[in-house]
Amino acid sequence: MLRIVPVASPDEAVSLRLEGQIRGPWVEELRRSCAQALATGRGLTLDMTDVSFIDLDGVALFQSLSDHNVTLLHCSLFVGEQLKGGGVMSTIFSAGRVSRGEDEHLSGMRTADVPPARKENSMVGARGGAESACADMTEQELVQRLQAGDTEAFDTLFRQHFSKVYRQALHLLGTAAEAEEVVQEVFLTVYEKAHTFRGASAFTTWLYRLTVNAALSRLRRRTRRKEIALDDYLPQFRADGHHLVRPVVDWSADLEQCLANAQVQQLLWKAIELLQPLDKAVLVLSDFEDLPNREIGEALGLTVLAVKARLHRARLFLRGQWAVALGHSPA
Amino acid sequence: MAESARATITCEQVTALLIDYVAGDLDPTTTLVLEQHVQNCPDCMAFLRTYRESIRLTRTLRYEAIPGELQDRVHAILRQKMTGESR
Repeated sequence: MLRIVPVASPDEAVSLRLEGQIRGPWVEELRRSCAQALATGRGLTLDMTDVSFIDLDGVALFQSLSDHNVTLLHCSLFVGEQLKGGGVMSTIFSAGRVSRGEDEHLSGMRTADVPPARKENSMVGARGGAESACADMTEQELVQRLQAGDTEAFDTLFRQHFSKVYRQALHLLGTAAEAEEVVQEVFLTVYEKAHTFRGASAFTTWLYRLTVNAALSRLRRRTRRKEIALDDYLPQFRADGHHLVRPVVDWSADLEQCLANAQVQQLLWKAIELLQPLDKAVLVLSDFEDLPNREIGEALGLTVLAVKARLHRARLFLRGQWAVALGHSPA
Repeated sequence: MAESARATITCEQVTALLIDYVAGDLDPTTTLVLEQHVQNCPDCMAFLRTYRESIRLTRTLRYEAIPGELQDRVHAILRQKMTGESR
């Protein structure tokens, strides 16, 4: 159980106090709350004083938050070590002082204290004077200035969102060169078509849509590999609803032991490449970018139900690929 | 009312509900029915564990490190193109 409590903040950032354990379905709940807070453009502070546990999915969530204007406060030693093990500490905490009080709590650091080189998406620009006028603006203000032709606003938006756009493109396309092309295309469109952005959705949603569309058009132009029957890797059932192939083998503990890490990665990327472009986009935006289904639907022009159906099918397919790699039936 | 009213669920239905279950989006009643089934069905227990592990492994593929000079290079290219454009 995790309680997420908005609290008053002395500064501009949205502040949430977390109480309980960050695990299971509560990770998704926290992810949504963080996304909502970050969409305001004001930064986010998470008070971790009363967080007693965080599971792997929770660590992954904090990894994904590392590129945003997020501060973690008062992690316990235990939780701090869990985050550190997942690589989160290196991006949020490494650049400055970390003090340990007698109660053994770790104090987090605001990203404003982080050297500029680390702040790819911070509101405080690394370039100093030229962008300082935009540094404290909300995203809405920046977009309005961009629409008025302000190139400094564009520069700030670029620095805030570059990493996210590039990463999405790289996950979708798999090659750095194509990802770079997509990033250029997306931000050029942002500059040229800013006047068409009406604000009906969040600016980030518009960015996701531009990124995914640019990537999808490239994916669809790729020479199609030999078609495989996706259904061959999906679970199958008898008329009475039982699994067709029994017993279903639990290989969940075997995978990383049986395959070296590089093999695992290679296998997974190959499997993802076999997905239809739209299914791949749904999977990437969900399981790599942690977007909620509603935002994925807005970016791809799909209903939430359609997003869930495609995501589930993609996940089942990947599961089937793992099963076959380990010598088991996917069914 | 006991047997006829008690909700039952097949392995196929459990599999279809997994996307909502792992996201914590199922209503409490359905969650209870699903969990009761899984606890008594080794096949579905194995399937749930492998489904979750598959999702976890997919997430480990996320690219995290972006070359520092890349952003500056792309920005410079964009600026060139922007100054060459008229709005």
